[in-house]
Formats: sequence, structure tokens, C-alpha cells
Amino acid sequence: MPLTIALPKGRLTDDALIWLARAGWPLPAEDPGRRLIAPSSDSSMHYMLAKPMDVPVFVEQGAADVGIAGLDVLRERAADLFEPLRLPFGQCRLAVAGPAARAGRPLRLDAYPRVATKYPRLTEQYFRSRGISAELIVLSGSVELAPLVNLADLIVDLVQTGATLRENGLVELRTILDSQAVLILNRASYRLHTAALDRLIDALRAAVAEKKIKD
Amino acid sequence: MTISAPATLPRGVSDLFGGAALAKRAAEAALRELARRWAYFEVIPPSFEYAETLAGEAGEQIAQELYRFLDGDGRALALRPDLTIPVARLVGTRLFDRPLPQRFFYAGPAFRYEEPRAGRQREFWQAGIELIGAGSVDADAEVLAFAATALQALEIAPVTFTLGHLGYFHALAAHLDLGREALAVLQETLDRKRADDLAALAADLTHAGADRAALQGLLHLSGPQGAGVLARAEALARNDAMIAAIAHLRAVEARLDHYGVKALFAIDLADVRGMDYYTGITFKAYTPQMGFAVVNGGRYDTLIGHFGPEQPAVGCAFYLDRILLARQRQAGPPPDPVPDLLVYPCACGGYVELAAAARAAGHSVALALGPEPPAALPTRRCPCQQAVSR
Repeated sequence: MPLTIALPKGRLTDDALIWLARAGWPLPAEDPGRRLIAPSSDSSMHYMLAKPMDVPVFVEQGAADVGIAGLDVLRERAADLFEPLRLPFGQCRLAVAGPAARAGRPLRLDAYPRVATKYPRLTEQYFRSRGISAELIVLSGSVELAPLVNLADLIVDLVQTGATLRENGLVELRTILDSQAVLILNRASYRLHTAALDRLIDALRAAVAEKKIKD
Repeated sequence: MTISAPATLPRGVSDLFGGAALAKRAAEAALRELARRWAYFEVIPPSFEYAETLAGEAGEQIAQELYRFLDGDGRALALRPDLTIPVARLVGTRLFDRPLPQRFFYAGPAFRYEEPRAGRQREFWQAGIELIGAGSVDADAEVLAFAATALQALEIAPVTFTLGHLGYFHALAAHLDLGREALAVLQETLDRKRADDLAALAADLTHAGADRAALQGLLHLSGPQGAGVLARAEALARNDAMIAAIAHLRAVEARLDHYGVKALFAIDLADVRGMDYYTGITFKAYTPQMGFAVVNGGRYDTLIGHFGPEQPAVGCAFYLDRILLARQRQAGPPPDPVPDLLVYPCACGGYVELAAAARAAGHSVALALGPEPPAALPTRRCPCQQAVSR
């Protein structure tokens, strides 16, 4: 039975494929960008492309046996699965950001900050654990826009280089989570296909170690 | 008439009807019958008890997930989060002097306040067995073999079990002298198989190299029969208690071989999450299309002692909802029940006898009362009607 692997569609796709190739794993026979599900060149795997936020869901539910997801969406989804290996790409931070004018002002002085985010669970957890009752404004994109149009006082979003923030007059205030790509496995799939999945983990781990030595 | 109340359900509960309701009752009945053949007889504990009874022993995680409410006199009550604790309370307080060992079967809903997802609802159905008063390897093997036999009877396949022993992990944790917080972090790390985090934890230890190796090696102490897991675990062991846990698992495996089910059991000594009351062997069963274990079990030698005289005990719970969901995903939804026979009422009243005779023979008989009879059902009419229609 072929294994199904779920990859995040978007900024992590290319790196995920590069690392799977480095580990000697068969890649999709054609550009997976055109199809949502595609067999590998030797038919031993099925590749599935999903929205990054959905990859942990596909894997947790067993629709995919294995997946590659950002630590940020993994924690946001609170998915219950195995996370045997961190992969050295997709590094970014989930950060609190706000208008440059407020840079020095502690968060705790805001009584009811309005916070725009795509990450309601982690945002709520972050502010609540500091005793701040934030009002969440859940958006599905262009979160940086929210402070500009006075929809929110702060945002919680992924920051890679900080360029997007700067362009919109925002500054990074706090880091909530350091994120990177993670290999994830469905708990039952691992028990039922231990040998194949162990080979995948070991091959990826070896590729990561080899790259580290070269760099 | 206006309907003011919302006709919806709170999160985490569901209606069952048609084939799904039938399948759940059938699975429960199959387990009950199998349990009877293994001499496990049913106990029916209440759905709610004093919160302190349920919260004290189940561990912090479960305590946070209890549905609590107040009794008329202000005492805190809670819905049962599983049925093992109520059975332990029953044995500890009322059945402690019965001849040992005692064997019990139970079935019914349990309740946990957790984020609902497929196969994890807030009201969920468990059936299970408890073998109380026997601390032997044979007792462990009996419960494991029952679980394997039962999953075969429930027709989900293929199933893989993982078998571990908490004694190994606890003895290592004690040897490393880990504090409460470090222990919790370690358990979470192992449960998610986060190898990088475990390596970092091991590197932080100031202990001897062999201690660090034992800690870091834990994640690799997992594999199917023939993978040499127990031999590797023995080589990494740091004290007698760890060696004893491995010897116990070897003895259990020998018994599983007698039952003919040994090949189903992979070893996983890093499986350290479960109910906090487990003390010895622990096991779980997995099936395709279901991300969570469909059976969860283990030895809990100290739980009953919280309610009465201490007694060794081992048992397991079947998650009926997950088993049925997995079976549905594997084999399609169960067919809705339909009557075997449709009988048409008639003026002479002969249809009553017709229906009664068929029911007495065990058939499901519906009277054709609607304007349109459902298609494709065998029908029967009283002779008086057939005379008229001709």
C-alpha cells in the first residue's frame, strides 16, 4: 500500500521536495502544483498538497500518513501526532508586532488590545498567560493591514525577514514561537508502517546531518 | 407555533440512528458476550460520582477535563471520565473481600471536556474488562490476549498493538532523579517522539554518559517483534528495576506466543503517556484510518488502594466510537436496518395473526400503515384481501 505524504502548498513546498530528494525519496512524477494529489515517479508514494494550516489535520486524521508542516501551524492546530524530526528550512518567528510609534511601550499596559491574527489559539494563549484580555480579530490574510486601517492595535503573524512589517510601518515587539519545518506522522500509520516510516525518518535525518557537515 | 429553543446539540455529543446505532449496540453486545466467555461479568457503575473520587486518582490531565456540577447539598459531582475509576471504587469500598481474582466487564458512555475531533468526542462510549486481585504475568497476558481476540471479533483489521512497561521509564526517571516538571517535559517529548528535543534534554544532564545514553536511547526502544528491542533495552538499563521490567515483558511475550497473538505486539518502551494510574505494562491498539488508539490498557496496582485495601489490577478499555468510525472508513457505512416483512392490514383482522406468527419466528415485521409502501420489501397479505383484489 503506497504511503501518502501531505506537503504544505506555498513557501515550504520547494524546500520540502528538495529535502525529500536529498534523502533519496522518490518525487512526484509531475509538477505537483497542478494536481492536488499525485503519485511519485515509482508509485510508492502519493503526494498531496494542502494549505499549510491543513497539513496537521490531514495527518492527524490519517488522510495522510506523513507530512511536513511548520511548527507554527502544528502548535496552532494542537494536533496530536508524532513529530520525530525538525527540518532545517522554513525558519521564521511567530511574533507580536505593532506600529513603530509604540515600540517601547510594554504590552501589559494595554487594557483591551485588539489583536489581528491568523493564529487565534496561540495568540489567545500568549496574551491570556500574561493576564491581558486581548480582543482577537481573526483574519485569513494581509494581517499587516489591520493596524494601518485601525482595525487592530497589534498583530500576531509570521515574520521571516521583517521586510513586510517595515514596509507597513510596523515593528516586531515580542517573539511567541520560533518556527521551522517539522516532519510529522500519524500515530496509527507509524504503528502500521513502522519499517517504511523509520526508513524515511532515518534517511531525512542522515540528509540533515550530512548537510550540516558540508555547511 | 414557533420553535424558540435551538434544535442543535452542544459540541462533542452526537445522535446515533439507523445503521450507526445498530452497529454500536452490536459491537457492545459482541464484547459483552466475548467477556462472558472469558468469565468477565458486567458491572454497571453510575454515570456521575463525587468529583473528588474521580479527580483524585486519574491524574492532572483528566482532572482538568472533568465535567463538574453541584449536588443539591453543594457537594461537587463529576461525570465519569472513564469506567475504570468507578470500578476501582466499587471494588475498593464494597467488593474487597470477595474471592480473588475478580473479573468485571463494563460498557457505557464516559465524558471528558476536550477539544472534539473525529474519534474524540466529549461523550464517548467505552467497553472494557478489569482483572482484579491477580498480579501475575498470566493476568497481564490474559487481558492482552482478550483485547487481541476481541478486535478480531469486531472485524476491524489489520490491528497493531504496542506493548510497553511503565516500570522501565519510572525506574530510569528515579535513577536520574528528575523533578516533577522535568518529568512532565520528558513525557511530552517521548509521547511526540521529538528526537531533537530529547537529544537536547540528554545533553543538558550532568549525569554519567551511560545515563544520558539510556535517556536518549528511550526513543529507539520501539519496534515490531524480532527487532531486538528488549535486548537493546536491557543493554541500556541502569538499575535492577529496569532489568525487572524487561524480564517481565519477556515473560508476557512468551504467554502471548501460547495464545498465538505475539506477532501483533510491537514493543514501545517510550510509550509513557496514558492514564496516570498505570504502574506496570501498558498497551494500545491501532488500526488504519484512525489516528488514535482504539484500545488502551495497562496495569494499575495502586488505584484500588485509594478506595480500600490495595489490590493488583490490570484491564483495558475499547473506544467503541473509534472502532466503529475506523470500520466505517475501512468498509463503508453500516446499512440502515429495515424490516424483514411488510404485512398489510385488512378488514377481517387476519393480518394480526400473520404478523404475530412472523414475529414469533424472529422476523422484524412492519405493518403497512403509510400511503406508499417502501419498495423492495417482501410483503404478505391476508387471504381476505387477495380474494378482494381478484
